[in-house]
Amino acid sequence: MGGKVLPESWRSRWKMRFHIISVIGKRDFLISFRTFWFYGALLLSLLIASFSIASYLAYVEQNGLLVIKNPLFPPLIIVTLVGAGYLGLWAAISMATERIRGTLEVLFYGPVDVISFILGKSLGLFGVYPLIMLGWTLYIFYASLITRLPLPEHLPLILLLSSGLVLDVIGFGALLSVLLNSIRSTALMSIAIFGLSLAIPLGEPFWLEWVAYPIRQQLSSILALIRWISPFTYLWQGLLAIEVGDFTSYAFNLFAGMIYAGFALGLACYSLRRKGVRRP
Amino acid sequence: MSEGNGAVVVAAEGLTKYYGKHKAVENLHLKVHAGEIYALLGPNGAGKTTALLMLLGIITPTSGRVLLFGEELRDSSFALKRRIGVVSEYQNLYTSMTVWEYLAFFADLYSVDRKEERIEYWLTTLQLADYADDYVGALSHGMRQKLGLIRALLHDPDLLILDEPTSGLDARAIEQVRRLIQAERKRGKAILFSSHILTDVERLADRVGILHQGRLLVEGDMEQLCEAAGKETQVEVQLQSVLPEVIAALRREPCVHKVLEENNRLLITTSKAADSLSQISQAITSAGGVILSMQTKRASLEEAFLTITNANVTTLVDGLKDR
Repeated sequence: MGGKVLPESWRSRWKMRFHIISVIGKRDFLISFRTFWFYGALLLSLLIASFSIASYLAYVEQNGLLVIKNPLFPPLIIVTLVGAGYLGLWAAISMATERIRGTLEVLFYGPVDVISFILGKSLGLFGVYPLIMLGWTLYIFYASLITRLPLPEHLPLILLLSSGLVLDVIGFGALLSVLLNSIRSTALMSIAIFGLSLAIPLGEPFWLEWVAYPIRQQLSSILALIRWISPFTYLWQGLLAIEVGDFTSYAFNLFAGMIYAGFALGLACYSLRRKGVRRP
Repeated sequence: MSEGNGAVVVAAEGLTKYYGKHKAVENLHLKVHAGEIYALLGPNGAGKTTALLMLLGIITPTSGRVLLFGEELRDSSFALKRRIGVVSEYQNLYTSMTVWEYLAFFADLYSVDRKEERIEYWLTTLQLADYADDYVGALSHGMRQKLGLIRALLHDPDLLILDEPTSGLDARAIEQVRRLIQAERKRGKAILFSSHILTDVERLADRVGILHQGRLLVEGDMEQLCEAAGKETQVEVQLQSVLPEVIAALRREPCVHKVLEENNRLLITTSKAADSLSQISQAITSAGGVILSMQTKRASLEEAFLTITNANVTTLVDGLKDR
C-alpha cells in the first residue's frame, strides 16, 4: 500500500484501453435495445419502406409497366438512412447525456480516458447496426418474394457501404455531443444537420432550377462545402459508383468514409480532452 | 496519530485554480499518508470539491501539481486510477440500469476478480441486497449515496476520496458509513474526505485541513487546530485533598494560565495540553498532592473552526507563518 506504481507500457495501456472499450461498448450495445426509440426508428423505417413499395406497385398496376430498373433499391436506401440517422442521433444524445448529467465524470474517476470512452460508446452503437441490417435484409428478401420484384443489384456492396455511413454518422454525432453544452441543443442540431445533409443533395436537381444564375453559382459552392462535411457524402458517391459500375470509385468512397469516421472520432476525442469531462 | 503510518499516497504541491478572475483554490499543499484519514473541512464554496477534483485530474489546475502514489496522474494512467475509489457529492448514477447491472458494469471496468461475490458482499453489508434488481432511478437519495460508496469500494482501492460522504444520509446510515471508513483506515487505506459536517470530521479524521475561500488556513490534528485557533485547554484534576502548596506550585508553572478550586477538584487553564500535562502532574505530586483522576477538556472543533474561519483569518495565517 502506498508504493509507487510501475510505469505502464504502451502495450499494457492499449490492452487496458481495449478492455474498457469492450466493457463500455457492451453496455451501450445492450442498453440501446431497451429504448423505445430504437423500436420506433425500426418501425418507422419499415413503414416508410413498405409505403414506398406499395406506391410503386400501385403505379405499376395503373400503368402496366415496370419503369424502374432497380425497384427495391429506394426502400433499401430509405431504411439505411433512417437507421443511420437514428444511430447518429442516439450517439450524439447518449454521449451528451453522459457529459451533462455527470456520469462521464464518474467514469473518469476510474480507468477510463477520452479515447476509450468515445470509441466504446461509438462501437457499442455501431454493433447494433449489423442486427438492424440483418432485419432489413430479411425484410427486403421477403418483399422481393411476395412482390416478385428483383432484389437490388449489388446488395452486399450496398450493405457494406451503409456500414461505413453508419460509422460516419456516429462519429459526427459524437463530435456534436462534445461541442454543444446541452442535451436538447445536441439533439436539435443533430436533427438539423442530418436533415440538411440529406435534403440538400436530394433536392439539388429540383431547387437549382428555381434560383437565378448568380445565386445558383454561390449555392453550388455552399453545396460543395456541405458535401465535404456531410457524413452522408460517401454513401451518395458510393451508390453512384455502384450504379455506373465504377468499383474503384466505390472502394475509394468506402475507404474515404472510414477516414471521415476516424477524423470525426479523433476530433471528438481532442475536443473532449480540451473541454474536460466535468459537467458544464 | 498525526500523519498516518505509511507512505505518502496523495501529495498536492501548490495547487491553484482560477476561473477567470475568480480564485477557487490558492496554493494548496497537502499530503495524505497510507493508513490515515485526512479531512478537508470548510464552509460551502470554500473550494473543497475543486481541490478534490484537481487531485483526481478532473479539473486541470492553473498551476501546481499532484502526485498520487508518487506518480503524476494523467488521463490514461489506468493502473493508477484503478487504485483510487471516489464518492462524489452528487452520485451521477445511470438511472436506467438496475443496481446489480450498475455495479457489475463498474466491476468489469475495474477488472474486479470474483465480481459477483464482491457485489453481493457489499450489497449485504450496506443493506442494499433487497434492491439488487431495482432500477437505480427508483432508489432514494440515501440508497444512491450507499450505491456510490459501494462503487468506490468494489475494487478494493488503496486510496479513497470522498466528497461529503454522509450528505443526505439518515443517522443510522451515517454511523454505518463512519464505521466503514474507519475499517478501511485500519486496513491501511489512505482516506481523504471533504465535509462541512463537523461531527464527521471530529469523529473520523486523524488530520484536518481547514479550507476557507480557497486557502488552506491551517492543518493538523485536533490538538494542533485548537492551538492554532488560540483556544486554551482546560485540565480537570480530582485530588484527595487540595493543599495550598499545590495551588501555589501550579501557579508557578509557565504553562498554567489560571487555577480554579472547587471541592477537591482543580480546574486548570493551560495553553499546550500535550506538553503541560506532565508538568502539571509533576507540580501537584511534588507539592504533596495525590491525584485521583486527570482529564483534559479541549475546545471543540466547532469553536476552533469558527475562530479560524472568522474575519481575522489573514492575521491568524500570518501568525502561524511566523511560528
